[in-house]
Amino acid sequence: MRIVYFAFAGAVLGALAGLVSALLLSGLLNSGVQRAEEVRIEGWSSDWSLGTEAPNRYLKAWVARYGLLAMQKSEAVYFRRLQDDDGAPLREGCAYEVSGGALPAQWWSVTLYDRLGYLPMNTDAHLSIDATRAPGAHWRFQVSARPPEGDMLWVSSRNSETFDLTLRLYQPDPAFLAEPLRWSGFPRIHRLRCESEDAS
Amino acid sequence: MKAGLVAFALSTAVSAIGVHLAVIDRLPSFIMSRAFTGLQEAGLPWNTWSSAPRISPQTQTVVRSSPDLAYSVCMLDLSRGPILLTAPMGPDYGSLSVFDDDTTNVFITGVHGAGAPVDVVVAAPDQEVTGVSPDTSVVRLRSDRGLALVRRLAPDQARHEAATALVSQARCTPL
Repeated sequence: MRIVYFAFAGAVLGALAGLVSALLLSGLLNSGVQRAEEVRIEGWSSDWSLGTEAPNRYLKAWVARYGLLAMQKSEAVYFRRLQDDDGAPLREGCAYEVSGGALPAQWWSVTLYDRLGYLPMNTDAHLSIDATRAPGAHWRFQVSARPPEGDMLWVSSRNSETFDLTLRLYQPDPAFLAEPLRWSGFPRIHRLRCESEDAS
Repeated sequence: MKAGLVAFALSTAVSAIGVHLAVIDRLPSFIMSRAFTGLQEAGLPWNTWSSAPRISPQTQTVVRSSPDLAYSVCMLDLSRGPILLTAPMGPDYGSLSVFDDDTTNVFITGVHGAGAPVDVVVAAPDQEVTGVSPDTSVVRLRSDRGLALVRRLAPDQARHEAATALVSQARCTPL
């Protein structure tokens, strides 16, 4: 009879361990399983497994959690940037100039999300910049909590605290998809000033 | 005592592996089911295209929704037979995607440029599809539930209204 108790206790402990490990690896309890194939271009990182067929069961669960209804890679790829060109975290207290040129896609956009992945709760109506608003071979816009002076394009970081910028490339060039690391010229993020510097 | 420890170790390992795999494999369906519930609670009917309001901090419902896109969604209920999806072409970038109930993107096509509307029949694995033209794509889901999603470029209010207006020309109805 005693052996049954041991077996039962083991089953309960195992079930608990199995549940917690599954939730940890899928990202429901933390940031999730290590991404299978990271592509990093000039500070912009992308999980190259998103939007592909038959990822493993862990990545499938991770994608369901963090990229629900994501498009196939031939339609869109996503890059994320959490730091400026000097390696400092992007934060609401600083102003940045984002600049770039032509990108390997039919259309692109850059959107600001808070650390939880949501649009920051403000009413500025300046959430992103896309290729229709920044056409041409050279473009730039400012990211800051307050509007820039003049007519410079603006993305508001108000109420974001720390944030990331997400670059979406829609209908990316097949050559880029095949060999993304051969590409250069992704947007640069130059820190203009921070509140503490303004005060000094 | 030794037999007890062996039983403990074996049952722990078997239970841990079994529960781990069962949870991991069911998570995508669970997450999709919650998405269906959220859409239903928002008042969206099955087998009908519905336009989402323009994405803003106040209207966002999921992480990383794009404020530059107009979204239209149709929750697919195939329990009474296949569903015919149509989506008109628009002047700007757009796509029609179909997702399984475990979040797998089983079909995607562009809906921009000139030309006739895109026709797609969505069916469950065992459903017969008859009476459709050879040009019509037939998509098989793994169950009788799924989701169709149209995304269109809409970086300003005028384009969002134009994209939303196209929904009146779209169909998501039993075949």
